[in-house]
Amino acid sequence: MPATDNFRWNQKTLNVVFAASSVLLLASVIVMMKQDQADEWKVYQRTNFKLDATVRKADLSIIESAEFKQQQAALEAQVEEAARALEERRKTDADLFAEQESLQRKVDALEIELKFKNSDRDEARAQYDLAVRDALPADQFQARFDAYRAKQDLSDATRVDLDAAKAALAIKNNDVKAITADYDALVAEREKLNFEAERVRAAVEKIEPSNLVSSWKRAMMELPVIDGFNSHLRIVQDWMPRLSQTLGMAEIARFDRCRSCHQNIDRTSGTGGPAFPAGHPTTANVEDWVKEDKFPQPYSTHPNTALFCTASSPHPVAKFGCTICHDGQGSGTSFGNAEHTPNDPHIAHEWHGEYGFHPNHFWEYPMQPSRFAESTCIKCHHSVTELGVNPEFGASAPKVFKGYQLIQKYGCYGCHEMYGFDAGVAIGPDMRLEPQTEEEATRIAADPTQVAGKMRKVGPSLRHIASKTTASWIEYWTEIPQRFRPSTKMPQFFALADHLGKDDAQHTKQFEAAELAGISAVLLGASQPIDLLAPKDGYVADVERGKKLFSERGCMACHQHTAVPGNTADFGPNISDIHLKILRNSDDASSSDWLYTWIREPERYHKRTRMPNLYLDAYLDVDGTTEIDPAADIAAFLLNQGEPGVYPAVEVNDEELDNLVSLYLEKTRFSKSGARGIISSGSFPQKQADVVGDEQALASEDGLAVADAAAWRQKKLEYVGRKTIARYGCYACHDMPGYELSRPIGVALQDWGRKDTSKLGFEHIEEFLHHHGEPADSKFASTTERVRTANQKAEAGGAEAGLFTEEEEAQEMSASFFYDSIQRHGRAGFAWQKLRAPRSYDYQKTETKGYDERLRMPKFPLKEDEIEAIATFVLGLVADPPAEEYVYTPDERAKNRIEGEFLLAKYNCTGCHIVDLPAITFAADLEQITATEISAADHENGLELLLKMRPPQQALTGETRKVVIDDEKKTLHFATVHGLIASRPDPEEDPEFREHGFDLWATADFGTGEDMKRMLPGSRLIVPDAQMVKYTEPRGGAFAEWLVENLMESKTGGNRSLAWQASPPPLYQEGFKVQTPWLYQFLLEPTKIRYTTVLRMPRFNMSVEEAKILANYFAALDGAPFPYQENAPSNVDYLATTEGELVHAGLLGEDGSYLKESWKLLNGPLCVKCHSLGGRKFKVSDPAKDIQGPNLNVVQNRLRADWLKLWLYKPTWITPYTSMPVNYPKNNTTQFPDMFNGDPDAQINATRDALLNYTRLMEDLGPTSYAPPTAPSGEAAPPDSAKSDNAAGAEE
Amino acid sequence: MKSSNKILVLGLLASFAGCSEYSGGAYVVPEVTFVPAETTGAAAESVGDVADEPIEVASPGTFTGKVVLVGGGSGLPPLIAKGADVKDKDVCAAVDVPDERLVLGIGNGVANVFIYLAKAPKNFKPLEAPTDPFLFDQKNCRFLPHCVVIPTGQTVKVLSDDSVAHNTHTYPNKNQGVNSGVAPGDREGKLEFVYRKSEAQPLSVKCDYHTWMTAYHLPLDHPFAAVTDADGGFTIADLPAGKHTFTVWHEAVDGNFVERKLVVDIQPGAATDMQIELSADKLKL
Repeated sequence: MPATDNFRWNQKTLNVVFAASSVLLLASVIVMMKQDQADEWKVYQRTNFKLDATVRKADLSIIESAEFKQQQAALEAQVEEAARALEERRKTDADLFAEQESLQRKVDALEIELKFKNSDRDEARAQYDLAVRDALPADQFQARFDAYRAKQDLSDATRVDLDAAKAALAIKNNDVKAITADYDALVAEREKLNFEAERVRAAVEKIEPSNLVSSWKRAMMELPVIDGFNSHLRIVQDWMPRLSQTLGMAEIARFDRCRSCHQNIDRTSGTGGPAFPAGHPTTANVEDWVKEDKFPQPYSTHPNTALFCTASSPHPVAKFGCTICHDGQGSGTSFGNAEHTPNDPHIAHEWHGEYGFHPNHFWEYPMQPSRFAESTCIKCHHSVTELGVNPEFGASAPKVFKGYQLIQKYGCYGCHEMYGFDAGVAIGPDMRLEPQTEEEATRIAADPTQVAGKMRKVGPSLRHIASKTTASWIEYWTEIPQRFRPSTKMPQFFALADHLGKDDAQHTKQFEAAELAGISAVLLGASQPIDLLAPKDGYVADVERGKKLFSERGCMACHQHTAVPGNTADFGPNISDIHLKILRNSDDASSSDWLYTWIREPERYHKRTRMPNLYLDAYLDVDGTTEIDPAADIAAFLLNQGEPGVYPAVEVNDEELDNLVSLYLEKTRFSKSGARGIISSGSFPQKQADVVGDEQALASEDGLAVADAAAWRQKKLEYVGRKTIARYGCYACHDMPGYELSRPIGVALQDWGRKDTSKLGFEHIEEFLHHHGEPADSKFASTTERVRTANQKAEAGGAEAGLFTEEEEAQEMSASFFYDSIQRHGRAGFAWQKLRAPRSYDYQKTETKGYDERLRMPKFPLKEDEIEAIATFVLGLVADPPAEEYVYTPDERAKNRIEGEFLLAKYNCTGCHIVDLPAITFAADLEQITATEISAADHENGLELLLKMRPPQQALTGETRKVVIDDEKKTLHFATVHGLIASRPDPEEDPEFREHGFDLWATADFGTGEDMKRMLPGSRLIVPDAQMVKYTEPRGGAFAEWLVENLMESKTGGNRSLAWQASPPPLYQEGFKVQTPWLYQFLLEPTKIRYTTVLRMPRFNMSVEEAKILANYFAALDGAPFPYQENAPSNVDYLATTEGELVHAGLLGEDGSYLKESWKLLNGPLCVKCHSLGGRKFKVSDPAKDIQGPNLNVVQNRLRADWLKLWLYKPTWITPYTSMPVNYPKNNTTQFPDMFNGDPDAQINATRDALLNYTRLMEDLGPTSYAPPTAPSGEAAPPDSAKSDNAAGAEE
Repeated sequence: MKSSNKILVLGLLASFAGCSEYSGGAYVVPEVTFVPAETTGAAAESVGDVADEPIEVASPGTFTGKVVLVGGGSGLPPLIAKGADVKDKDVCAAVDVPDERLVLGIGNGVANVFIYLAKAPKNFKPLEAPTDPFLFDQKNCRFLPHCVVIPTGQTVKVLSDDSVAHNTHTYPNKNQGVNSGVAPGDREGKLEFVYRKSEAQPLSVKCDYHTWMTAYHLPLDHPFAAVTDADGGFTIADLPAGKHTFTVWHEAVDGNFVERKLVVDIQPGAATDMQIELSADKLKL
């Protein structure tokens, strides 16, 4: 139809157009629906179903092995056979079966009948009840009751019939059962055999149905709209309403849909490990994945199922979700939407190809790249320590823990506050400085909403520095600390000129010279006087002895010194150079009272020093006359290493000094000409007392001009020095007079992990890195070039193609990651470059800002991996703790453990003491392992106690190694035991005969059941060198181990046991050993306990609170009661009961007093051989060699009852190296035959109880002596008992 | 031939290990006989089906000689002089207690030197442990004997002739150490122990109550060892002929080895005599 007035368009054409467009519309709708249906997660789920089926089929093939099939066929045959036999019996015993059937019918019929009768009866009863309600006349009432009775009788009669029929049926059933029993049993067995296979088959059938109908049904369920009705393809969603997240300004509940793709994330295998271990299989074929047992993302299981995701782990996925740890967009159901973050640009590139990845700036919390995966742990784990040291899970987040340790080491919190609390609520790791003044401490203690910081300033005190060193050394040191001591942790503030132009650098150097001289002027000017100690007049220090004492008295637990090589302690500085810097006595350059005082009484110089008091008091040598002053000897040894160092004072250009003074004055309130006037006239317009601020340094007391040019110059230097100290915040690390209340100068870091990136001053950093950024000895001209090279190598195949070593690849791709982050203005990149070259952000900025406005952050001697660890920690500081129930709140025991662990590190307890024993893994030939023999001298009661305290641990790890020895194939089992080295392989020996010796400290079981061999603590284990697999160093005790090796040479003639007795003891199971209140007291004021050691436990600057925590720590670690424990043996009831039992057993006379007898026994001629006891002193025979045990008067407060008893049973069970012998062997009843009837077990108990009632007995009974009656046989019996008595008496 | 040797040796080892499972008391000692070399050298060739008919040794040799101190030196004064003020002096200082670190005899012969094969000769069957216990005594706070070779597997019983308590503390390298009290006048030997393994060097035995008391035990699984007598003389008999490497060990020598590897060629049926010199400047006293 042509266009007319009525029709603007040709209708026919329109019809065509409409038809076409509707077809197009339909097509596009279909396409849209199809695309909408083709979600990524569905693809993953389909693949995962395939994977699941494959795994199950693989399982099925294992279940249905040839053997299984054989068994199945055999069973099937048996079933058939039995069925045939049964059929036969049915014929022969037809009557029986018929009877059974008829009886069954009868029972059925009667059951129905009974039901009818019962309902009749119920109806009659209801009628009766109605009669009661309606108060019917008596006759009607009776009639209804009779009717009910009649019905009830009928019912009862039927029930009797039924019971009889049932009884008869039961008899017949039994008869039938006897005939069918075989068949039934076989059928049950068949079902049992097939059950597991059937179950797996059913599971496979569900995923991959074999019949068409089911397949079709399954396919239908995937169709659009229908898939909304419980389809097998569905979003998996974890909903955590209390674990909210912030989106923009709103707090909303957290939905994590990550498991829609990561379906196997929490699936464990039968043994508890991951069911789908992560890996990179060689093909994309799921069958191959199963074969290789490697599964790619997103099909793999979480790598640490013990800790995460599974229901039994501390972080079940249903409670925690995924994004609380990983960040990212939990509601996203595609790779892109989930906000995955690549670990380096090369991976980003790969992802771009594979998933179309591109970074999304609009999601605030993209997923953490794997390098920062541990960052988020500290959101909930505010104490951090448990992430690094954990008895259950080991080091679960080692990188963030390392960052934490580094921050502690370098004292970052001095400048950058890291508040752990906000209005009394924990918001993150608390790393604030401790209160700096008494007033501050008191104020915080009085305020219940405040928690005091606990970090000490990391640098030494400068309060009395004039007594310690010289101005020139201060300047030399401060300018570039590493120049003097390469291992120092003091950062570099000066001479950082890489980012400056040549002229600027020159000028800066001039200013810095003035600043350095200023600093030393201020420090020495403000230095307060101190009373130094000095050795006795005329004392001649012995350098050689000093060296010996230096190595033996504990200095090397923290320090290194090149003159005594071999240890690697770095808790304190390496002091090989100390002779260069220390101020020596003016009258005698070979001694330094400062050094003497510092060694002898460190807290005199610095109240909060980390250096403990080592009790280096003067003592008499073994000859009894020569006095030795160990501090003087050690000082002499240290000073004797060389002449004092000579350091030129920095040259200060007076003009530049004036410029600097002018610059600061102008910043204060003076005009340029005013400032110049002050400088030229030497007169500050106010009296000193009227001036507030650093200008005090320029003002004179009387307000008059300073006439003396040198004095005025000094004033100017002090002024510049004070300005510099304030600008650089030196007091952040050092205790300095006048700066006690100064505030930190850096940016607070407690929420830096969420800091708005627009507030980070990137300035010209890209430009800088384009031209500079690498150290002078680097092969790259700039960081840009370095990163470009790294990326190219990664593109070309990286380490796999041999272009890098694995280590290099990790390091270079890290650099590439951070560089990329800088380009995107990310926090990580900013922090990285800030720690690498802090001043580089001033590149080409110094021209437009004042000298005093330049960046102040110093350069720390950090390696790149350390920087990454610190970044991991700092990025985790978000001050955004989740709901209370998610924040890790340890119970009392765990809390003490964690806080104690922190203190172990703070006071370097682990420098001296082993806290975790070494683990020895070896390939054991089980035939060669000999179980510990129990001899006639060992007490069963003791053994029981031992196994309670040190329960057996399975030594066999489950791993094996097949070897051929003398053509014989053998299987060696890997075993891990815990103990100390007893002997090392002899290098002179032929390799095949080299052996390691170990003394076990923990009970080890090899195997289980009847074949189990048990090695008790104290057993010697010999491991051929060839069978050693791994020796894991102990935690702590490096100094003790070093000292042992040293003493074996110098003191004990190769005897390792004696050397250990002279060294700091391992603290294995210290919690079971000592009473907590005693340990608390001991930590605050360590008394001398051992006489065999060459050193003493020092006294640390520990608060009472810290001592309490540390004392509790050991008990908490071992699961022993704390903080109080009952001392049962001093309990009156216990004593009365024990006495009664002993009398009853005939071990104590009717009129005997248990405690009195015990005291007598303790004072017998045995304990006193090695211990001072009961008023009698240890008898010295040879002071150099005597083995004197600890004084016994401290036992009652020091040791726990059970431990002490075990110790008396057999000391080597507890401490294999001890000299304490078994004093009461079980088979020896003749030692004290008149005591407790000679019973050694009772004697042990009595000795223990006497020790634990020591003070009471000493008070009540006083010094006592006891001599046993003459030895029963032998020619050399003592002349008479009286004589022996005298002998004992003579020792009193 | 060779493999049958191995089986035999393994068998012997196994039976020996078997007997080591017992502790104290009766020992089950397998009925095996030592089969030395047929002729010189090739000991391996000599062992055939020996379990049934042991082949007699043709002619073993003897190693004999004397250890003498050269370059001066003299014996030491008593360690504890009679009446000295030491612990338990009524017993310990009742007589002069000699300092046994260096005991010299006629012609400067050095007593208490251990001379032994560090390892049993090849194919040597493990020693049959004596069923009688070895009695290790102490008198006047002195161990008796001061130096002794003890066969592995033999029970050591510790006696005491003193009226004061002692303790016996052994410091072995490969064996289980012992540290136990010994009651005064224990002539019965309640404390007993066994060395299960050969040691490479003598081990010290000490009393922690009286720290000057020291003895040395050398547990060995073969008999080719001697301790020099009062005049420094020693004899090791029944050695299979051929070259042997002896260790010569003395407590007072710096590093303990007089000779770490002394190679001696033992002639069949003859005595090889040797004077071993100990230089006085090697002593560490």
